[in-house]
Amino acid sequence: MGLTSGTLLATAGIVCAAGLTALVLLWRRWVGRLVVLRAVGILACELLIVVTVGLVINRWGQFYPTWSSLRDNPAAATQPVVQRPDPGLTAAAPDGAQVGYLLRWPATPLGMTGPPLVWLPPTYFRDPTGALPVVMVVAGADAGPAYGAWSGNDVPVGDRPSGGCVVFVRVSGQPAGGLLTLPAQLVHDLHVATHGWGVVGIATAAPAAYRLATTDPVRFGPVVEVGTPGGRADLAGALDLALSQAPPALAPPVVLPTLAPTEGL
Amino acid sequence: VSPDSPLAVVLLAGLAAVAALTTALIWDRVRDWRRWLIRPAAVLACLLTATASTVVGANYIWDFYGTWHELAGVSTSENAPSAHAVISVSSSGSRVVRFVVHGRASGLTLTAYAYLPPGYDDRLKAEQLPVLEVLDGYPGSPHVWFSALHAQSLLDQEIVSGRMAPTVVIFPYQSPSSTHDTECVDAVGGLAVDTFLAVDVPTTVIHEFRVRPDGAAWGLLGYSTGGYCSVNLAMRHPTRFAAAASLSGDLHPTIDATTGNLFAGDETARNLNDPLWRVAHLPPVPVALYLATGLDDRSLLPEIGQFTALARPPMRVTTAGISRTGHTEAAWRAMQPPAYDWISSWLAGPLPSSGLSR
Repeated sequence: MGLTSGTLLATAGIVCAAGLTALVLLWRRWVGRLVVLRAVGILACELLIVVTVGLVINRWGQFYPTWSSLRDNPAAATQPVVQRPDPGLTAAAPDGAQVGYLLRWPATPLGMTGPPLVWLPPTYFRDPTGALPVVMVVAGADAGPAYGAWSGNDVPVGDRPSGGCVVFVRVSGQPAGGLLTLPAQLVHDLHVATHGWGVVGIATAAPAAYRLATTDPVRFGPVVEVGTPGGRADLAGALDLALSQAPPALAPPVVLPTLAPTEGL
Repeated sequence: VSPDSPLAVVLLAGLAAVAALTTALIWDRVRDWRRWLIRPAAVLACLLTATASTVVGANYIWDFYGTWHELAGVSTSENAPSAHAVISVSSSGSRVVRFVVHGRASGLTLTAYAYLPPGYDDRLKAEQLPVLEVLDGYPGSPHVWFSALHAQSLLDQEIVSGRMAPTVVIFPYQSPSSTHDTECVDAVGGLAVDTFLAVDVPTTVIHEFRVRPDGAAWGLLGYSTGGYCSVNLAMRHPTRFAAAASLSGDLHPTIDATTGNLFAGDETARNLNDPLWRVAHLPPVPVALYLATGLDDRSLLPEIGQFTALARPPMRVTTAGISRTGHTEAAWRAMQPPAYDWISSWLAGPLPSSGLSR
């Protein structure tokens, strides 16, 4: 018999009515020393009324839908899954925990002029479990320091923030499909945040940055422009601004199971 | 003796027993015309004492209200101090303070509590922190979070472990009367609670605490009615709140005897406060939503399924289910740590007042 079933409710109602009837019928017989039974009868009937009303309210509000929800403790959230840094990366950057590491990505994604550069700050190596915030910087093939961009395969120290990872990419004039696939690869291979990424678009690549942000609005936040009319002049300031809008580095969360699509339907 | 103490329950249960015994004893002793007065009065006394002990017993179990004023439905802003009064300090160094929100936009003046994380006064002194506005269910009050739901210790646990960023957490009252469920909306011709929570509370908090003023760092979280409030407020004010977490919250406003006719028959006003209607009929807004429920909460599961199917980017929806919980405080205790971690991952983090360290 379910806790919110009509059968239980009807049973409670019948028992309650029976209790009240018995109290009325027996009232006159309980005299002398038995008068205490009257008090017990009153309290018992009050209890029956409270239980019945409680069951009605519970059926209406579905507070305790099952006996199990009344009796058992809920299942606990699952423990965090501890992430580890890629061992090859740790070997390549022995001083990473002190100075950070500028990683040259091993492949050139579609629509880019060369392999992306990924700045991993010292925090990345000091805390192998934290998910660091990420900013993606998109520049055109021809954008150099004059536009606030980096040059060649090196990034100035001033454009390497300690508060998060930065992905530097150069796109060619062609549609950069690799821009959309690269974040998933980075999330898979590095311990970085899955969402809340900042985007910086430099000069002529600003439209590509906007396309990226609007195509994947779940992962990316607002775009910061550099080297455009109305945009910022310096990349360092743009990175600060983008990181200030991103979630901080966080340890792996405790989680509950996600609802399967069929569970809600 | 507070209304959530076992002593109050024992006293009132004793009073109910005395009323029952007195009724039993005097029933045959009163005769002539006086029995028509005394016997009904005795029965009434039995009913009243039984009702009172049941109400206080329920309050003891579920910790809805911490003071007799609240339990009786008296205004929650009365006698509140204007300065920050410390309510509790944890072993981790966090503290809860009480303050008053004088709502200029809404015209409401209500008490609120602020959780200040460990290190707020020293290690984090140079940082502006993100903010979480936390809302309770109905019946309920902020007191529920600190008693039955153990919010202070759970927040300490998540922040100290690094799963949640240091955050200032605000627990505002959502109604001047504990007997009136406002559903956190601007009632047509009534209380402007939406304005109070989305405008007045942020204005006061930004002025009185060291927090980030921008919406990217503000979130909402609530259970039951507070969960509905959180989702509704976030969808209505996406520039003020970046994320919201609902623990067993409906996705439509409840209208019943405790709310009164909030929308006075104005269908448009009702629809605009209905997250399910909004997600189906209005352009999606850039907020992240976390919808958690007990897997045996059969009334809520279909709503979440419907909402999730309708949600489109840039709105982001994460769902979570927990077994054997129902619509209970045990559920909301278990749901809190994952919800805190989740919402922190969607809010902009602490910001050094002097800019980011490089």
